[in-house]
Amino acid sequence: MENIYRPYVMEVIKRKEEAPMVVTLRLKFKEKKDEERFSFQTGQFAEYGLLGEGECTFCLASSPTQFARDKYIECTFRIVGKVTSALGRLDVGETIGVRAPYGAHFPIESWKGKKIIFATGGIALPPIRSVIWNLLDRKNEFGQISIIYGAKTVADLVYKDEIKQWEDMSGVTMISTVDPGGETPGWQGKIGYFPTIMKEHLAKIVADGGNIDDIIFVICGPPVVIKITLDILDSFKVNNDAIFTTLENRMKCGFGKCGRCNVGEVYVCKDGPVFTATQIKQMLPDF
Amino acid sequence: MTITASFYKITKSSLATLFAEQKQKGNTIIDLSGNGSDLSKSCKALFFPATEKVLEYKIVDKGVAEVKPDNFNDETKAVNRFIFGANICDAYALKVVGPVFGEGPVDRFFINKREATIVAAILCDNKKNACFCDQIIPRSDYSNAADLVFTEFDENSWAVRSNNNRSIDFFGNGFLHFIEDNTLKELFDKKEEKLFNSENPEEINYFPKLEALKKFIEKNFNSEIFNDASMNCIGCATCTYSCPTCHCFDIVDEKKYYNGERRKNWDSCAFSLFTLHASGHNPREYQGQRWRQRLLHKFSIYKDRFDKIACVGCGRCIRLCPAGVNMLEMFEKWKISIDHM
Repeated sequence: MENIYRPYVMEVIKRKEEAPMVVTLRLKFKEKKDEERFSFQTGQFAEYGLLGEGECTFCLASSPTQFARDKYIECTFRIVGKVTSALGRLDVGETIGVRAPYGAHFPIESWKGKKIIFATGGIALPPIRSVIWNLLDRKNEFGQISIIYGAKTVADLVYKDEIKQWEDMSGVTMISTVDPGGETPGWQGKIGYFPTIMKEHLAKIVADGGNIDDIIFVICGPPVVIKITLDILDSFKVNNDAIFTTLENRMKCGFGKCGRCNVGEVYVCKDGPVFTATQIKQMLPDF
Repeated sequence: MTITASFYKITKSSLATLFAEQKQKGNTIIDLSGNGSDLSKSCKALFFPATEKVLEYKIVDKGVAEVKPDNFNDETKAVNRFIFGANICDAYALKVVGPVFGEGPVDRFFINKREATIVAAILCDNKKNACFCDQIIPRSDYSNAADLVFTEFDENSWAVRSNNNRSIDFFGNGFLHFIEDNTLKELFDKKEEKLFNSENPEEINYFPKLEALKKFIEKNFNSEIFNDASMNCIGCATCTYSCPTCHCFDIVDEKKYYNGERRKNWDSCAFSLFTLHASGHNPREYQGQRWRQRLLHKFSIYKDRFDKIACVGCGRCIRLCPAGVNMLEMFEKWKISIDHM
């Protein structure tokens, strides 16, 4: 008899502060047989729980290719409430319960040969990071990758080391931006909200005679930003089936039973969290 | 596979003997036929308790927890039970919520309890205050809602309709107390007919067609009507807790020294914290939006996902609401628009 609420027991093998109040934990299975059984696809999420404190939902921020290689997963979260505070206090060697993987994944197999633009902000980079590394690990199968990433301030940018790596990589265009007023004197990147920067980037592609029809867009952010970004993409007449996003509603169970993440008849945990813009537009405006 | 129902007669004294025998065998008999409260008569909590342990663990060293592996099977294990005297609507509600727990990853906590339990309902004699089951439960499902359906034959005996073979397996030889008599079908048909055709309680002047109601709620998603209708609502969740089909839950940890439990607790769409994001964004910020979700889930979402209406017409949300919020009054107010759908 399977107890679906029983987590895998995992050990923290690395802890990193990405930005003020944003922490990445690297996790390894305690049991070999769990590790052998486990697999996931990019875009899926997990329930991370600290026994005695509770559970929280975040995406799997590392890529499946990374797991295949190094047998660990990572999660990145902002310290906000009771559970994330407790998770943020964890040190290397301590134990955490993880239920995963849940939800739908990004259909990256259908993106082969295409250019991809990622546009995201703040703490919404972690779910996208999983996709980015997954594609970069199979770089020859995909076209040019552009990453447009913004945060409130320079300090709030997460994965600073990886952003540097992406800047130096061939075949990758990395555009970092901070909100007006969030820049430091030495800031080399752009200043402006990421949807605006994305708009400029698209306008430049169009002005250079580029074709935006063969580009896949992956966007992520808070609900209001997703709505704004979709409007901008609409103004460029981008095919809605080529736009992907991941919604992050509040969840508890992760498999469509506890009843809080629904947007109309769509359950974000079960039918999502990955949706196309076409699907988003068919939903009731309840997210 | 359709099993046609069979009919039996059993004297009240034989039934008492049977219960005593079963208790001796270690099975649990739960009798709801007495003067139980409106709330306890809904047998939801017997399958989906208000709070239920789903995991037990011990913290053995700094931060290192050990989930008790030996208890693993016991957590979902259910004892054999016989529930006597449920309402038909509440028994039907178990069928309605069954797929939520039984489909996808199976929630063994609910499903094992259901599989180990025989539900015996008693046919209602008349419609109670704010009851409207006849408007919602399809007639064919009404008779089949419970494993057994009882109705009084005379002062000393019950007429029993058995909808499946589960009771035979449960009682074993004890089932010999039931005397087969298929002529009793007529009695059941007559009583059901009488119930369905009886006068509605005073409160119910109008009940919409379910298809039209579904369309109406979806179409008015962005309208102010839900704010107006729920103006009295104080967000106490009595309606959802007393509802036999409401099944939303929270998962929380409780720790005492080195011992901890993870528990599944009832939660409610009536609470503002139910959908609050960590960022502070809340998709359902106002009580009106939460009421809209309640109606939408019951009459539209559930229909789309599981092809059933997540309301059985028991009327508890109306009878028990401390602020007098009344779903039927809302429908009556929207009557002209709904009927035009």
